[in-house]
Amino acid sequence: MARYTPAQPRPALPRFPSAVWRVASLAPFQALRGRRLLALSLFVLCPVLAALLFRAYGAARVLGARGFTDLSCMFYLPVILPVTVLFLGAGAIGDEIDNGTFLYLRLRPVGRAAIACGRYLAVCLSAFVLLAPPIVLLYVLQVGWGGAAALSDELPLLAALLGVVLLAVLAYGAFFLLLALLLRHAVIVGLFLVAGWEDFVATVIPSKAALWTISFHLRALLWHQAGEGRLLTRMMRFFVRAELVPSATASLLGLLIAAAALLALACFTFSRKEYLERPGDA
Amino acid sequence: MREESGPATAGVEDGAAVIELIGVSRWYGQVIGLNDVTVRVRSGVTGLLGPNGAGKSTLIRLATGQISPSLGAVRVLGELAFQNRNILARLGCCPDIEKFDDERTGRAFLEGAALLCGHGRKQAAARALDLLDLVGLKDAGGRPIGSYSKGMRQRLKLAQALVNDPDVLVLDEPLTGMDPLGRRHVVDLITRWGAEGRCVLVSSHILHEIEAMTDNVILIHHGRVLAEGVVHEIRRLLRGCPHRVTIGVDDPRGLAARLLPAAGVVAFRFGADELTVETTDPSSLFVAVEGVVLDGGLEVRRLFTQDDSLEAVFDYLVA
Repeated sequence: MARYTPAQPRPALPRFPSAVWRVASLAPFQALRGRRLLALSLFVLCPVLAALLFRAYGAARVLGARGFTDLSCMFYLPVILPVTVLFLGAGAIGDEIDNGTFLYLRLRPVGRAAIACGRYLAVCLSAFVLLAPPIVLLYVLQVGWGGAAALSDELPLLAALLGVVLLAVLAYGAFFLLLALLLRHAVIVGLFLVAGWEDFVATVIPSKAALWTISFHLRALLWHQAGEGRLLTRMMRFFVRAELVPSATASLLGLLIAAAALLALACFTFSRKEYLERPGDA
Repeated sequence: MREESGPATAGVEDGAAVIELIGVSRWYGQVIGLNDVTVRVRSGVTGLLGPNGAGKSTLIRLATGQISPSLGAVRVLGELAFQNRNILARLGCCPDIEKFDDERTGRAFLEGAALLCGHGRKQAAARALDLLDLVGLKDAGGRPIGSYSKGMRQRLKLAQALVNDPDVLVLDEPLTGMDPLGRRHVVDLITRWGAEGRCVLVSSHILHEIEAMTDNVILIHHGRVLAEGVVHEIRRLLRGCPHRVTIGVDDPRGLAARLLPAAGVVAFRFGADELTVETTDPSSLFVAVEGVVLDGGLEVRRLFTQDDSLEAVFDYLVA
């Protein structure tokens, strides 16, 4: 039999960063489609709807920069953000594993780590794209109550919150990606973790365990940004136990290190796991 | 962005084993998928045959590096297969799954596959169009895959297996769901790929599908390889199982009387106008029939062996 020679030289295999980008670019907002997109869009808009009601009824006490901080601290950071990232993170690879189409990705000359990182990047981008606009809208509605001057004066607060959201997306994204790779019912387990560990432990139980939650450090960063008490409302004080608050640098580094470690663990788990499209079929 | 040096583009060496399983066993918990299998697949088309649950899918998963063996070694193009990017760069696989991302178009699906193989955007788009044309989906390329028929999906799966112009093609039940014309087209394609020197491993549980593509087969059952090689050679080696030769003749009993002295004749079965001879030595029988014809007196209208077919060989081995 004559040997086979390709008609044209094959392209070079993509290096790791290129492979990550290629995987991410093929799944832009993949998890944001259909009913999931509709449900998540409504979910992230809940505080905006609340702000609209506040404005409609002229509830000045809960409007302004302090109200904006309160709503963010009460809804976005502990509930909306982790739940949104949970749904996106769990679907990043899990959807394809469940429906079997993951095989098409696995049969390409792309390393598992590149696939995991590519999908992580896609999750982070889609989560941020989903979360940032309603936060900006909330800012306009809440802080804009005080006039155009207030809007520009408090821009650092908005920038800080968006930065915190980005950090949160990075940390939760890695956490839920890992969870989806380890567990079959990652969404259910994730919801329990968000409600039980991230919220209950971080806010209610008086112990240092809160330092081991992502949400505590996110709120701590917002606490620092809140301007040495200028915007510290009773709500903020309830959510963040002052005696535990670490420095902003410590929280920032802690979150970045946690995101990197969780992502590395997800890559490791993913690269060692075998997936069968039809379990038990020999 | 700098890229890694590409996979070796040298073709498959003449006569060398392209896919090798050496003493391979694979368990799924307590269920055994493959049991101490040693098999070598060379260039050209090789059929992988076995009933459902025989271990074909396990062998394919091992050969494509999706799973690792519990025991033994799986090598493709000389390298260990499990999650090996160098091999995946030179291997194409048409899996036996029905699922696609139904919202994507066929063209986008192939472009994505080409991108992951290292093609740039433009080359990926061009490659996708070429492949759609090759498998007869050029007009449907812009439609969502959700609107494709089963046969069209099957063609798309074949197209994605070719996206990297592979040396090695592993096709799991590639004709499932295709209409007769589609089957003909795909059988021709597979035969052509084999003739080009690619190593094509085609699995099927339908014997005549494989027969249409190749006579080089691996027969697998209950996780073990029953036989591998050319069908007729395998049949020849099954000395314990007599060949059945049917001869169309007006006087079956007269012919039987004259064939009785031939070496290897085991039994006769008589029909109205035909005689079926069971023999362990078909060559001697054919010489004897030739003698009868040359001597005159009996007109032989047709002569054929019933069980040189793959199906018969498979039946013998499984029974």
